Amino acid sequence: MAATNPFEDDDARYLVLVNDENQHSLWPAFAEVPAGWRTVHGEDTREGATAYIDAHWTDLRPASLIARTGA
Amino acid sequence: MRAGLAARLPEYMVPSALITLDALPLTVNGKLDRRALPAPQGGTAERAPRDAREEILCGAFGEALGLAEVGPEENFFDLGGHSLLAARLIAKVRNLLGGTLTVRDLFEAPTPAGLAHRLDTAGEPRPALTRRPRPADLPLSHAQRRMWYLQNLDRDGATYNVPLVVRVTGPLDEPALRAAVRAVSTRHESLRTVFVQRDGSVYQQLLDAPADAEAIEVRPVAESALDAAVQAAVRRGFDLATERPLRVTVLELGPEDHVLVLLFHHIAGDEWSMLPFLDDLTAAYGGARPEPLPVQYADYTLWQQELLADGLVERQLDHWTRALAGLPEELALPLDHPRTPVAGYRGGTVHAQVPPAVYRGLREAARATGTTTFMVLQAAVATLLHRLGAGEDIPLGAPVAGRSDSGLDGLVGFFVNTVVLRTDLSGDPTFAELLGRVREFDLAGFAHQDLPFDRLVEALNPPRVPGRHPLFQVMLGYQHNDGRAGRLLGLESRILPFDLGAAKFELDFNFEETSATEEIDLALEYAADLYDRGTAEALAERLLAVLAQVAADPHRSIGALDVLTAGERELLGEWAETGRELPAASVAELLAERAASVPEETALVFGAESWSYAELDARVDRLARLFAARGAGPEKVVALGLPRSLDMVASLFAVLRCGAAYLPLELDYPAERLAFMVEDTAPVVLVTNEAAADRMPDTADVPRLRLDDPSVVAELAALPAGPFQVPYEPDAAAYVIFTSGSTGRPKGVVTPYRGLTNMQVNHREAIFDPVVAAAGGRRLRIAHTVSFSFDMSWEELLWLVEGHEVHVLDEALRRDAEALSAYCAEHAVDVINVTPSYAQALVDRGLLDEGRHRPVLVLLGGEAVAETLWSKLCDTPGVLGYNLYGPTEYTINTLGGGTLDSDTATVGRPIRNTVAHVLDGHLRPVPVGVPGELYVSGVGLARGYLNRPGLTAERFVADPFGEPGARMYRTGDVVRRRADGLLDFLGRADDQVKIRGYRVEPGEIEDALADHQEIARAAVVVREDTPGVKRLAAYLVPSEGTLISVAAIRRSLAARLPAYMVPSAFVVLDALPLTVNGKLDRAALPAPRAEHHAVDGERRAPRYPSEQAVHAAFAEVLGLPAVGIDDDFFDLGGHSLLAMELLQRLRTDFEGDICLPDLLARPTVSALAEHLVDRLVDAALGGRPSCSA
Repeated sequence: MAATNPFEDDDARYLVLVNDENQHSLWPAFAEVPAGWRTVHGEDTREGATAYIDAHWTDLRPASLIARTGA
Repeated sequence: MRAGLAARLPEYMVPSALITLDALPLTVNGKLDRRALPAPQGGTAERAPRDAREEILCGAFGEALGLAEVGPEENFFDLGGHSLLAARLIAKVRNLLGGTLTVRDLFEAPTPAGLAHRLDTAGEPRPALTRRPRPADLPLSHAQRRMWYLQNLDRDGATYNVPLVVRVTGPLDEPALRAAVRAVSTRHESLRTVFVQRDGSVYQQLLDAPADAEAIEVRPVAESALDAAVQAAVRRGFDLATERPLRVTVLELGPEDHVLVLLFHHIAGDEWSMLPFLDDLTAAYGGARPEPLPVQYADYTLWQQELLADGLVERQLDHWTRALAGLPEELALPLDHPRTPVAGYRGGTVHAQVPPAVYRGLREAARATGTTTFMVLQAAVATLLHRLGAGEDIPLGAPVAGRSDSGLDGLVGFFVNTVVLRTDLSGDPTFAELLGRVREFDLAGFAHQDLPFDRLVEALNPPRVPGRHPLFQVMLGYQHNDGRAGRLLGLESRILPFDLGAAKFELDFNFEETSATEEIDLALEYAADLYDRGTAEALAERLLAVLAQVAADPHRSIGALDVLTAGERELLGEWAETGRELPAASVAELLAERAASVPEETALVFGAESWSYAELDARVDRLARLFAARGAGPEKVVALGLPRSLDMVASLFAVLRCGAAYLPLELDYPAERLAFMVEDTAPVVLVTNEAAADRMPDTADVPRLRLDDPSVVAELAALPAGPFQVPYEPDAAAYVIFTSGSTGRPKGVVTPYRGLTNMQVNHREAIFDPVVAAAGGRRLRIAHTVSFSFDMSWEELLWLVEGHEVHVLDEALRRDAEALSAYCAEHAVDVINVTPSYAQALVDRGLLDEGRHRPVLVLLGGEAVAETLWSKLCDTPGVLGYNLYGPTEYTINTLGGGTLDSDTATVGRPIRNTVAHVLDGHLRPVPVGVPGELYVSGVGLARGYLNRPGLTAERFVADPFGEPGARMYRTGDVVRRRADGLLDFLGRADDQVKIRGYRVEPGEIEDALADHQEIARAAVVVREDTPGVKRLAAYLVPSEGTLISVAAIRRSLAARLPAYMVPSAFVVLDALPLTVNGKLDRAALPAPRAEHHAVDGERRAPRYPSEQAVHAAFAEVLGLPAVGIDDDFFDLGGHSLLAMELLQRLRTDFEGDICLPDLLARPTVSALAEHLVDRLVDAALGGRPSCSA
């Protein structure tokens, strides 16, 4: 494919989104933020956004699972 | 009226526009409704603009004067212009068209046409077009030569017929029409020119005008037969050597109702010939005797030679060489059928119409951007093709009138030339920005339009492919219709559509603008060998949608435009309806339920051992209790380092019955890799046995549990076998499976329980029930051949949960195609699950042969399926094929489709509770038939990559199409949706490769290489230098002042990476080749030579006949002539399928039963030859040669 994937563009700007399960998503700044997600970081570079995620998303389990099964 | 006013009023009080209305519009109060008054049209536009520049000038005049339309001959000052406006207009014109015009020029030449002429005089001097002496041999013009060549390709086909079909109502004077056709043919030499070959050249030769009798052909026809009669008339080809290139047929429907088919061959008439022809025909029919033409086509031919001889070709070529540098060789169009080497001329036409409201918006956009209607249409077509996957650099062909001297305006003939208009869509511009780019390219192009297209092709010399038009594949035609054809012969007349059934180009967009009715008609001609009619219709519908959107707002970015059709949107919605209710139970619980219902049936077979369902279930319960006692439970990991065995299956289900997650440890993997996996997952216990224990990594803090340790055996026996259950938690992790990671280390995919339950539900409906029914309703036998380290190993386990008999095959058997195929026949195996290339190897070894037990179902997965294999499965009676697609990141399978669904290989459609999105670079769904990247969402979605939040958030991303807060996984796979909703796999969007079904990230190998001090740079690519053999090749650049020992590097990689990830060739280079953009230039990497495959040092040649025979077999199978006798078959790129081929050859040469383990144990020429000779000796002494396994 000729065009770069919107998640793989080192020159583009990105957001970090989070849903109610505390799952994080890298998100291209040009695209509308989907329902059920809120922006917690950015705009930032791709590297900056993933660094934020690495620092802040420390437990990949869905929040509801943590609530049901205990920490 | 204006003169009358001017006589009474000062000039500034004379209205600049006068409009005649039937009545003044009134408001409800009876006052003048000023807002309802129509905008002034700037008087009568007596003719359409001659070219793009004139049209742009008309637009600029209108813009400056606040008028909707201004004709080329209208006076700026008459229309209300004054000097302030004049300055603004001139500034605008200089901005749009360049040049050095001043306000003075506008006063001296106050019309668009006049200003265009002023701009012209700055151009190059040209020879005058005058009547010239005729040579004995009159050559062809460039355009004629091209057309003559094309017609010869198509023989007597109708591809280059140019018909005009007109229905005239009223009394038709037949003799007068005959005389008129004769008169027009006399007047225009081109209409009576034939093309004769003499001494290897072609010349124009004039005939007399046809006699009255042969001037027209009159035929009575019934209304019901009219379409057929028109079609027959327009599709009759011409013999250019003997026949005049104009044929007039009169179809008589009634005394005052006729259809005239005026059929030209393109070589004698182009789009711009029609008006002069019709004017002359109508005049002659009315008895007029027009002046003879000042020049004829022959004069043009000679004049053109002179024009081109004077350095003009070189100058124009210079422009085009620069303008077209780096042009894509071929447009990636969404074809329905692949291009074939034989150019197909079959064509069809679909029609569509741009409505007035959209037309007005487009005109406004053109005026606001200083462009023409044509440029707007060009930008829209380029935008559409771009959005359909054709890339950011779109070349389109466009005819230009070629009548660069006004003396040619009244001539009938083939003057048209073709220019290549290149549209740059990079950077997601707005449509208005795109129009600016188009204007710039086009104006420069039109200024260099004399260069004949054939000269351009010769000079640029693009790679020629038969059946593909050079430089462009899509044509864009445009005509401005001023309605003159409506008065043919002075009778009421109407143009009828026709269908030539032929196509000159792959796609040919023909637009006709009618300003009077504010409409644009589109006739889209398509090559029927490449496109289905429905696709062409959808193209037209999509284009209208694009035009409507940019007409409403030209400042939208082209990536934001919607190109889906209404029908498509509906279908995408339907295809997303995959919901099914899921039971609240894990697969381990479903297995217990199954065991309770069929306790005595055979569940598992391994060699001579077998377990009934009751035995299996009891073993699972005991093991679950044992694991739970060691700490296994929800969100805890249990590592399984066991050989393929009954206990491996029981342990796997036991982990799930505890609610924990299992981590499979492949015994063949290097200890370093296994150690990483164990450290990354921190299991509560590592389950192994005596045989496998020494392959396990040394991880001190993870307790080991050896199932065959006497104390463990005792402990197990003492545990109760009754049902063991924990509460079902669908979101808890069920397994962690590692895949190659692009950033240097493998990544563990964590997958929840609900996905497995969903697989059971899906497979019951999609696979189990139909296959069991096809087999007559009996229980089936399934061969388990896939490594437990891959999620694909679940296909067979799901059959087990369903109550069928699963045979677990050991390592040697599962890898040996010959033995596996034999096992399937001997044990009446019904279902086998393998990669497509392995399936082919099994087929080659008789799996589907007649007269033996055949499988009912061949499950495929892991790589693209070859059409030959798919056809074989389709064609073999009683056999079904089913392809399953799924990245590890989505539980087991994402898509599936079988031979019952499709005649061609497909990855199928989404499984239950799964939605597939095919998206473009703006995360918008692409139309059916267009390649896009596959994103998947649904209950099978993995949790993410263990301990890798950043990486997880890059690949598991917010889903704009699903429930609020849902995620989707972007697969990196490029697919295309078919009209039936099934998906076809096309390739990868990134570097990931599949080696024998294994997923490999070259980046992981590159990183492993980069860890070596002596390596400065490394690149790893997959190569297929021997057809059918994919090998990884590593390219290494040494650090300064160091030497690279390939042998040492190979050993070090083998200690870290699975065997399939160790490159088979290592090539040392001074530097990696780079593209102009500084990226790795893969195409420039040299193919590895034989010595690059060698392990190290000197290579020994074969010494004895036995070694020579084995050596020959190695060399042939590997495609490497220079194999050394000490080189390892597997290091050289040999893999299990090639090994099968090798063994097959050696079996013939050495008349013995040679098995895979023989090769695994002795993988070099010298060792294997020695072994084979030993066995022959043994056999001669009375022993029986047999496998060493």
